[in-house]
Amino acid sequence: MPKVNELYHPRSDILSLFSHRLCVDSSQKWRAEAAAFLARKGFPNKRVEQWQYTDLRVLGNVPYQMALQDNNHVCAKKLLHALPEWHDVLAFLPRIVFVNGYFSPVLSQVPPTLTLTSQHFNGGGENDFFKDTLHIGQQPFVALNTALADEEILLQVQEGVEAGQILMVSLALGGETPISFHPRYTLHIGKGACLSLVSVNTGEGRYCHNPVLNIKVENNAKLKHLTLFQEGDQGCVLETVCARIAGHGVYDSFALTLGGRLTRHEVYVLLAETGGIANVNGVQCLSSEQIGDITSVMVYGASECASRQTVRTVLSEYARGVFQGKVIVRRGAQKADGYQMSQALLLSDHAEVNVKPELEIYADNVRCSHGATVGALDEDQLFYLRSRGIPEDEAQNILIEAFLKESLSLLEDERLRRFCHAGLVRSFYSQKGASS
Amino acid sequence: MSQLLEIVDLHAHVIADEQEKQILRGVSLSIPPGEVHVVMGPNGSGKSTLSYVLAGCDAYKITSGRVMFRGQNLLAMKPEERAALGLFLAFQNPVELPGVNNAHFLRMAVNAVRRQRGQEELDAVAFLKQARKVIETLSMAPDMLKRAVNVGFSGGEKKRNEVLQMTLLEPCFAILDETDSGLDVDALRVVAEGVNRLRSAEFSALVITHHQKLLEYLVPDRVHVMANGQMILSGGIDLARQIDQEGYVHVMKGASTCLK
Ligand SMILES: Nc1ncnc2c1ncn2[C@@H]1O[C@H](COP(=O)(O)OP(=O)(O)OP(=O)(O)O)[C@@H](O)[C@H]1O
Ligand SMILES: [Mg+2]
Repeated sequence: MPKVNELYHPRSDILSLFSHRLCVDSSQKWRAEAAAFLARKGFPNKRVEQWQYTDLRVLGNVPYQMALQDNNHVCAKKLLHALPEWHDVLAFLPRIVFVNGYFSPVLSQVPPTLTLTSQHFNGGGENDFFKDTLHIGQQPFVALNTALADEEILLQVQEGVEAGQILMVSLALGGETPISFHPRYTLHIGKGACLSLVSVNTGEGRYCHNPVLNIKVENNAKLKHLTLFQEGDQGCVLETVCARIAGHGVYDSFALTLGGRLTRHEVYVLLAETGGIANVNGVQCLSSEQIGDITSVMVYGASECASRQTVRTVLSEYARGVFQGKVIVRRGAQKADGYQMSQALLLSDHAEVNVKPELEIYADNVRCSHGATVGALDEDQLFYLRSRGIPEDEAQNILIEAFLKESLSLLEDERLRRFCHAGLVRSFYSQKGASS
Repeated sequence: MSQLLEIVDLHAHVIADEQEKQILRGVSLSIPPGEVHVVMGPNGSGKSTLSYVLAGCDAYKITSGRVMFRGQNLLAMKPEERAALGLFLAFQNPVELPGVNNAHFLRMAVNAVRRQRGQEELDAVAFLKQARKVIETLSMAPDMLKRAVNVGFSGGEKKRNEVLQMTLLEPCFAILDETDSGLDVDALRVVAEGVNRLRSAEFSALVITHHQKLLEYLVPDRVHVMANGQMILSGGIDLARQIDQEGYVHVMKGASTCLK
């Protein structure tokens, strides 16, 4: 066992990218605490288990400047409209737009079914539902967010309201000098309410986007949450989602990662009461030296809950994909039904995928399964196609597209599935075009 | 050029568990244009391997021998080129292609072959019209076109889907590897009719089967028996009847004494 302080980068390393901004006004106790925590521990290096596959050195070596509120909407609008299928699918949805982490009323159309309040971040308090139970506060990027968050956005769907589909866009406008922003969101789905939230993250220039999203799904409420990460080539995003699901509540999430220098989507779910359901599914399609990381922790705290963690990954060139899925079934959480699956397709000898399933089970009546496949395209399938006259490269594309398409079959909404499919295919072929 | 297909002393092996496993041990066989030949033989004798090798599967390594097809060196060609030249293999166990729509797949295949043959490609409408017609003659459910290739198809449906592909790709030489296995009587007739419809002076077939029944519908020109990676016996349809009644062991015993 290495000593604890060896597990972290020396303070001068990754932490120094942010530390010039961590000199803190001590009247804001939470900031001081988070900053002190980071100063003490720094950022994890690859010897820390949860970070063994994702090397934070890709964050670079130039300190990140504070992102400023953007008052010129030209760039933001341009970015918005450059999104694939924007005009077909997304443009018609009610939307809330954030630029560099700040809410932009001008670009948003908040629907009446959603209550949006923005306030100065005050440490989270009761909004951080399980800082203590799951020690989320000790996640380095939650601590960083806590130390540097400026605005906190509260989103609420009132009891019994069917809020429909709402688009949440986060735009990053970085430049030559890297910027970082650390928004804090709290999303509350009232009893029996339901919402389909489509989060789209995109940006340009050099930036680090470090959001923390606290979600509370009340009894019989349902949140569908699709997140698209279509970050710029030099964009890094380290997102942490913490969701608490009450009795018979549903949190059905799906993340689609297309590009970005580093995209880490880290999700903690607490199935706190009987009959809750949570899905953390996703697809990562990456090339060049991109890194995509989906890390999820599913905690069963009550009986008769179910979860699905399925991730598909397609990697070409030097891309790396990570999927860490953990299931913790606490004592008494009987009849837990957990399912995990990772399927990866490697299209180059240099690409690498790391998959780590973990089960910690303290109840006795539990069904948990996991599986993983990694491989190149199936030779038998390729031969079948070629024996029908289809040339080799075309046959490969057919199989890759099929893999991608299958991976979206968990999305029920036909329009969203089409939107994601178009994004995937476009991203795949533009990567291919660029590399050949 | 009197033969459509000429196989001479073909040897092939596969690497399994880091060892060379010899499967074809000197296969020779000639099929003239317009003829239907049958290959029978015990399980594991190498029939499917022969058909894979002819279709161009590179899992099998060819160590000696040659194969001429329409006067060209077949073994030097890619699988897709063989298909374009008119060779078709109906697989014993067709693979499933999850996420690949059957109609889309069929049209890709038809157009790939047409392109290579210098024919004009079919647009979606023209293609569907033709595909629906064939589907009807094969008594297939129309929704087969909408489903993913072979996914969840019953054994018989998979076989019919092979015959559908064969019909659409217009080959001049088809290998049917146990296309009759697992079929009910009606399906068997449908498959046999599918082949019979293609029969002409320009179409030949190599039919691999274990069953006498198919041969009643599909009167073959010759019957060959394969054992242990070689063709050991040839004859007319009577040979198939004899095998059906007496079994391979008996017939092969006779063959080895004949060969001596
Ligand atoms: N890829 C492979 N790896 C290892 N062994 C193989 C492989 N392919 C074929 N064989 C072996 O080669 C032999 C011939 O197989 P093949 O499938 O050609 O037989 P067959 O005559 O078609 O039998 P059947 O009548 O059962 O279909 C068998 O012993 C089989 O196990
Ligand atoms: Mg066989």
